[in-house]
Amino acid sequence: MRPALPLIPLIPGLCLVPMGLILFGDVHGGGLPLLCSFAAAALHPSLEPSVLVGVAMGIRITLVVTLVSWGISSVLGCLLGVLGSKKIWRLWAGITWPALLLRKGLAPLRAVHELIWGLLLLQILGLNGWVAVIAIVIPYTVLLARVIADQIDCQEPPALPALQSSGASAVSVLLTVVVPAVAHPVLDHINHRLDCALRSSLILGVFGLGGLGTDLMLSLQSLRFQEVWTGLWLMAITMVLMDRVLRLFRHRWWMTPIPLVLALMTAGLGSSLTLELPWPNPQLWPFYIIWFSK
Amino acid sequence: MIALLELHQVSLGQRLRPVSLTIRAEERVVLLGASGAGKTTLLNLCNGSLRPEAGTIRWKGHPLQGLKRQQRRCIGTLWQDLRLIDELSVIQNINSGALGRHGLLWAIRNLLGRLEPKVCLELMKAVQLEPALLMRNIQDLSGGQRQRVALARLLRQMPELVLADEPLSALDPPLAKDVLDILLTLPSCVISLHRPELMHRFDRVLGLRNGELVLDASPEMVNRQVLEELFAR
Repeated sequence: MRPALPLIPLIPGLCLVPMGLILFGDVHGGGLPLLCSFAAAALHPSLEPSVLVGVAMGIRITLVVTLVSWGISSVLGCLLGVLGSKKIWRLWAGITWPALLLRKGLAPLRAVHELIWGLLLLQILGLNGWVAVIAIVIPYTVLLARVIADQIDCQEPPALPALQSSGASAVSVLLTVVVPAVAHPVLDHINHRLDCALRSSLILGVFGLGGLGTDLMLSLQSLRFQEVWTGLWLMAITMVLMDRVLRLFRHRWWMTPIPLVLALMTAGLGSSLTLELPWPNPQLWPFYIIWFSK
Repeated sequence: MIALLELHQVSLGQRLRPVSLTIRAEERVVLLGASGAGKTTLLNLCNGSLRPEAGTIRWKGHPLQGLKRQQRRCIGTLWQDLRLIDELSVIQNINSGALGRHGLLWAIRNLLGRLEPKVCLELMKAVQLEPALLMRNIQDLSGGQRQRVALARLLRQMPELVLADEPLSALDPPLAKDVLDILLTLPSCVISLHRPELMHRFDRVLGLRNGELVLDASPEMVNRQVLEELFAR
């Protein structure tokens, strides 16, 4: 009997059967007490002032990294998105190749996960908050640029040729016809990226780039589960609050610039919030070139 | 009278056979023909949104495709599908007709709020739109109201020549009469219509059949038999 056509792609999944057998064979209850104490700590998080202050500091750094990376990537993403749109170039100059060139150039940056960017930049810039910011900014900017360019290109507003034939300049037509048409989906996406940036900055923290993620990792490695749960609960509260704020913006899209401006102001204040960015020492550049060429 | 638009042996595949004609200043022209005769194609060639496969189109002696912005805004079009911006308000849509006369800053100010409301209210009065609709979103308007917003946008452009593609097709008779009255106050116009009974209000009648210009005469010269031939299938 031949398998039905839709089932054929599932055939490689059969390799999971022997793997499952091995895994279940190796199961033992040695870690069960540890797991139970971790679960029990969820109901009794540490409320010691020193722990609470430490977690609050961690959340503050995570939030600063989130807002700064989100703000910068939103602004850069919008600019690159406009430049990556074939429609915009056709409107401006009657050509589309610059948009295609930019898209091709940005594609590799998008393909690398922020975690990989974080680990790469850590080697170059050392351990500081800006590494996390740049690691998030690079893929987020390129992804937002792609979303915006696609949104602009898939729009066919009938008013576009109408205003063009009435003598309006390309930029005026773009502002008046294209921007209102893409504003809602783009602002929704930008809001969604704030949520994603929060999770990314937390994960980057787990890999040693500072903030609450780093605190959680250290507490977990020391088996201080109550401290871990203090951080997790406070993080959950922060995420719920952020979600509420985002919902507010979803219904009032014109309010989105408010957190964006806030984020960019935070970026300006970044240096006073322990986000110093020491640029790579020029004397070490030959070393970096050799390191990359390897 | 000055020649505004000159078409010389202009054609576009099967949609329009070679056409040569001249539209002069202060001339009111009606374009008649059955559905699919090529009226919209001819108007879109005249406003530059379609390029001819052969022949030349000139605006006041200059090639149409090479016109500068200031020259291009002299040709206004009232589109059959209106082509309003659904996301914007009535005032913003009316003001978009004046984008050809202003720069980028003006366009930004128009997007951000109420720009030149007095001028827009006067235009709304001219097209018999209630002033209360000024800040209303276009999507909230009825078909007739949208038609009048499109007309107000056209008036805001202040064109020398108006090309109107079946502007009365979706309107009830009293409103159609009002819209035609307004269009005929403009200095020069080419209006495509399905209603030959209105041709006596124009200076010149153009007739298209199967993409071919078969009639170019004054309304007095067009009799019932000519019209029957023009609309024959």
